[in-house]
Amino acid sequence: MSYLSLNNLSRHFGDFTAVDNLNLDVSKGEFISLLGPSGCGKTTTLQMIAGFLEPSSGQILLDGEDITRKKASERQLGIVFQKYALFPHMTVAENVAFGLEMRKVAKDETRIRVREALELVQLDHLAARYPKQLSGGQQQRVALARALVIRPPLLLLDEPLSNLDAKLREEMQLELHKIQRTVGTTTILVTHDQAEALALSDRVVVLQQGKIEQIDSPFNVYEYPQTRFVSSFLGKANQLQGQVGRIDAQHAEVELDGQALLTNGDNLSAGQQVHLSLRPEKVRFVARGEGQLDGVVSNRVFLGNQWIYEVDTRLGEFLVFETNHNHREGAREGDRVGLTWDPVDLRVIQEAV
Amino acid sequence: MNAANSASPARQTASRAPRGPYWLLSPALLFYTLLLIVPIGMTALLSLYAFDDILGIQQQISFNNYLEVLTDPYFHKIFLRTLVMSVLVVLVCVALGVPEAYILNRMGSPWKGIFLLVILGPLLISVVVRTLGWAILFGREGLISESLQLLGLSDGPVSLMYSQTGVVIALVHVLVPFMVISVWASLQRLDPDTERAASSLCAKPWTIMRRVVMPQIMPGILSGSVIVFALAATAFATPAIIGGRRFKVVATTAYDEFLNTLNWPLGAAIAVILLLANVAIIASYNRYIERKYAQVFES
Repeated sequence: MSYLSLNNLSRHFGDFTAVDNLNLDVSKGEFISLLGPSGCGKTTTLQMIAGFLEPSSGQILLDGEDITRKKASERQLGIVFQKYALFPHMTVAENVAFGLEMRKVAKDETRIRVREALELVQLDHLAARYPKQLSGGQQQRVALARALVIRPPLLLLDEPLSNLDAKLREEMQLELHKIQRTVGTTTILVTHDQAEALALSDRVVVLQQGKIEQIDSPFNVYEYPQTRFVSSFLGKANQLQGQVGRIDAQHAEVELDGQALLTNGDNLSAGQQVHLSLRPEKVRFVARGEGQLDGVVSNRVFLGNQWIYEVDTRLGEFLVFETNHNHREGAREGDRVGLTWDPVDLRVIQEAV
Repeated sequence: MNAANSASPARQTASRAPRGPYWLLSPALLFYTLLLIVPIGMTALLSLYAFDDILGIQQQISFNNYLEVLTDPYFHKIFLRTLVMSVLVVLVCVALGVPEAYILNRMGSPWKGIFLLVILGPLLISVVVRTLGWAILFGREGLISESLQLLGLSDGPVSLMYSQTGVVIALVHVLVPFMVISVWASLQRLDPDTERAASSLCAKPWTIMRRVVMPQIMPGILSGSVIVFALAATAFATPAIIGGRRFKVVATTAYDEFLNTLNWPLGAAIAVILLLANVAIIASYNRYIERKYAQVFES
């Protein structure tokens, strides 16, 4: 039994369809990310759940109740906005207390709950400050405390970390993850940052052009992309296209430009055109002629923890990531190399060609 | 030769550079000195002279004119009346201008521009013309009087001429755009998500207005009030035409001293007191709001 259901949810703006027949079931306590590029409909979806935007059609059920036409102020959801949207004229404590005050919670209880919420985000020592006296990360924590203090049935996060610098963003990701696990509130996060979606969620919903591309666990979305869009939007991928040749019990052969590559043979039939995706970190260098493919290193970039190589092959340019653990410098530009990988890592994308 | 020529302008610029910007200030300085500081200085000096009904202005320095204004209940009444009228104009401008600016800010794109023009339009017409327009409406046989009688709201003809109500209405019409512009400017800085955040926290629309929107646009309301107050307290044309001799304010009193009684020193003293009172009220009000709304002003 799902806790939050979006049934055939659509939203049009004139001729433009922002959200197209979306179906999503969320269980209680789950952390779901809506991930996609800008204009994919993720924010529109969040605004419909929040009650700021009315759906053109479809239904939103929360805990069995139809909230599709309910006003935002009656949905009782906790929302964290991209630019925090703190009340600048109120102190941190007053900001957090606002939702309780609106619910006519007794003064004593309010004080206790505000302190608990601020302790949760480790800001209890700044309760008397005003938002403008806080850093971006601290403001974001206040916004989170303000949303959680009302004990909402659902927490909505609208790109909450996008205004923070990279380092702070990683810290806040870990913290957000911990806080959500502690309070156990069902959470929906909207983000265009794939690392954020993978790091935080139980399930990732990848959206493009108002439609769901894939709903899966972070691991599966990354490892088993179902569409070419998912494979390229999440992380990097070498994308190939070919025709299925011989199939045996374990493997299928895919013909690409006269070169045969082995892959997992499930659900394939001979003669079928397929897309393939190969993650750069699954590719290893071997001596020329010993791998599945030969090439010449055309470019390399050192990132500290890993090397990024571009290798020219007869199938086009290949991206290869190599972890920096060999106590030596890797291949150099101009080196003639062989590339190898485990055939199961060459994923077939089950999408019509 | 060439070398010398190319070097000398450079040296000249270098030596002149620090003084250059001050010379550039001179037209503005001249302008302010001639048109602001000199007249005010002369008025202040004039206010210290004595006046004799027969001999006219006597160049004897004394504070007698100030003493007269500060001790005569007649002038007390006029100053108090001006203060009350200006405060009323400010209050009505807040009551009308704030919702006006808020609604305007929410309008969609062709209407926003059109209504902004409608609001600012009156500023393009001379104050005298606008006030004469009100005079036509306010008279015993004016549109307002006739309509009130037609609707049965009044037994006989009503005249708003020479009354406080009339002057306040006409001044509000002249000054409300300043309030709208000022509030509008602070609405531009308001994050609309704070309203959404409040609504997600269960606040009703009226509560959002009172607790979230109003405090954030308060600096705009307060600075709009300063402008409106200053302009209302010193307004001349509107009180002169609508208020006339029956509803005298400080500005029209000073005018009468100058041109009717011909007691220029007394008129000058009234003008100087009005200026000082205005500056004192506005400065202390400004300090008060800057302290009270420090959080909203910082950015």
